[in-house]
Amino acid sequence: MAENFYSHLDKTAFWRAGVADKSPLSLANIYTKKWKIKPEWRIGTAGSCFAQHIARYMTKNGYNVLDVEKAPSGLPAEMCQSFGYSMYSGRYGNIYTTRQFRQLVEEVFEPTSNEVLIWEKNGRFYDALRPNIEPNGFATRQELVEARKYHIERLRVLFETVDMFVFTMGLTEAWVHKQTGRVVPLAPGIIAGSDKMDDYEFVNFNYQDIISDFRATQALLKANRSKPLRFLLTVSPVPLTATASGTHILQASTYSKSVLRAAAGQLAERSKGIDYFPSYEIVTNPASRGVFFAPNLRSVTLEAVDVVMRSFFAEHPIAAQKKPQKKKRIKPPQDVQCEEAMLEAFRT
Amino acid sequence: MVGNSHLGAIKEGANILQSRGELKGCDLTFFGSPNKTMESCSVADGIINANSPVVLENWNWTSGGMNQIDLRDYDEVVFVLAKQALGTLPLFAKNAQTTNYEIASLSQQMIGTIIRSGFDDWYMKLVLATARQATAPTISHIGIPSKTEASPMAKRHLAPLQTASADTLAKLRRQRAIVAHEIGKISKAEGVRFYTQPPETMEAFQLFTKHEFSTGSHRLSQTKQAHGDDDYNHMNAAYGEIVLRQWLNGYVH
Repeated sequence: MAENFYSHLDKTAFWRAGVADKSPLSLANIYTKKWKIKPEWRIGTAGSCFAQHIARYMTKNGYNVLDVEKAPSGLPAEMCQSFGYSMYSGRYGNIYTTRQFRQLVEEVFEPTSNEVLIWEKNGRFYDALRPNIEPNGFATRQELVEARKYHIERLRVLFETVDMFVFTMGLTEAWVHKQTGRVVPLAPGIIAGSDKMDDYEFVNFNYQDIISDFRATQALLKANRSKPLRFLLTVSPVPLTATASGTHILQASTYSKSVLRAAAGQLAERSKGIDYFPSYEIVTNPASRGVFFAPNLRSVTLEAVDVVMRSFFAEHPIAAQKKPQKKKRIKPPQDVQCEEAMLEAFRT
Repeated sequence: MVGNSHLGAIKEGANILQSRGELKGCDLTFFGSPNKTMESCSVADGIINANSPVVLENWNWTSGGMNQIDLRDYDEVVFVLAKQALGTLPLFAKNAQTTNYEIASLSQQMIGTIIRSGFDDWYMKLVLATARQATAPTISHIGIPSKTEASPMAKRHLAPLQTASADTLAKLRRQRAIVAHEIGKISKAEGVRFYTQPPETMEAFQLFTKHEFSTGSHRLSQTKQAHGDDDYNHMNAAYGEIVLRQWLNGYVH
């Protein structure tokens, strides 16, 4: 056969050699790091449910993953997640969209006079921007407002200090507060706020929205920091639980993940400071024939998370530890907090 | 009076009040056993049983020959075990970037959760089990003192408070009020009277014990050995005297 543009490419450039003939448990060279994560870097984590796995594994493997809102001593370990602790670097709960991430950074560095968005249910109060961080809501509005003020103060420390942010893009669909344009992580009425549903409208962010939101976030962080900030982007392989787009859920989920994947790829391609880690591809690899998903075909299995993280640590070996760490049990993926899954309960 | 090593200060305080005739007719019996030895205890048929030779031996000499606590023999059973309320530390959060501590942001629900989880420890289980078995006597909890302000841990926690804003101090006060409220709810539900540490025994922020109360403290032992100078946990007779006065005056949550 005559020489052509494909003649001397690596095996991984071909579907059969790179995927079909390979075990999905160990895809060689699926990820090549853009830069080395230095042991002294302070790492922040945020994003959709799947990001909780990355945060845990990185912490366990000796990386300096920040937690600027540690759980108070005395709070039982099994209750920490219910109160929004020990999930990410701050007590912000799941950040499903880049718009959410942007508005959080804006709230820290460009505060407005907007009132805190509060939902009420049975006499309890919920922070609409993180409705799942108090199991039964706050006792009073004042308590909620003060908790948010403290949260934002702590996030300033996080955003000023962090050297690398791991951000997992989860969804394109969101609900926007019409008056202020703020998006909430969960539709009103799921946890609370059923009386406020008319104040919100549906939005399905497109590729350009995501790119511009992310770049605006980067710019704002750059303007308020004195050192460079790197991003490691991932896309959550967890399909949507439900869609409000009017299309079939499979179509909506594919659209959402495709847009996010394309945006993440574009951002990483155009910036030296942004790397993309293909956890999405590893889990959704057709060679796995679906075994990386739990019987609900949505939750990612513990084995899948292990495979993903093995690929990650193959490029970013376990960081040197200053002192021996206590052996921590990595909680199974079913333990991650994912309020989006509550939507399933609304299926009729 | 049932407790661990911290019972020593109460006993010494009682001796002072007794010598001055200020015990108001109270006849106190002490059942002490140090550390976690009383974890073996159980409550059945209105009797607290030692269930261990070590506890039996300690109760025997501290009470003057008794080896069980029959609740029907007392008007009140006071526990000098376990921290008061949720203790001091949950009120603080560690700053991730420094070794400093700051006042944590705790909701009422969170404070309630922390306090209730403290009741899962064996010592509070013993207190509650006693309350459930007690038909006649009042069951009270004095608890153990907080560490002294001179302890390295207290210094780390108190340092940022010296320059704290009025807002921060107001938050601390609010959260302490919630603690008192939550303890009050548990007290009502469980039938246990919870006493707070007397304010006059604590430093200005009411978080740690004044160091003066740890000087000259003694072990709960038959030889009455002195605690070391670096013991920030055990208090002296003066502390015990104040605590007992508070108890005698019925100062509760």
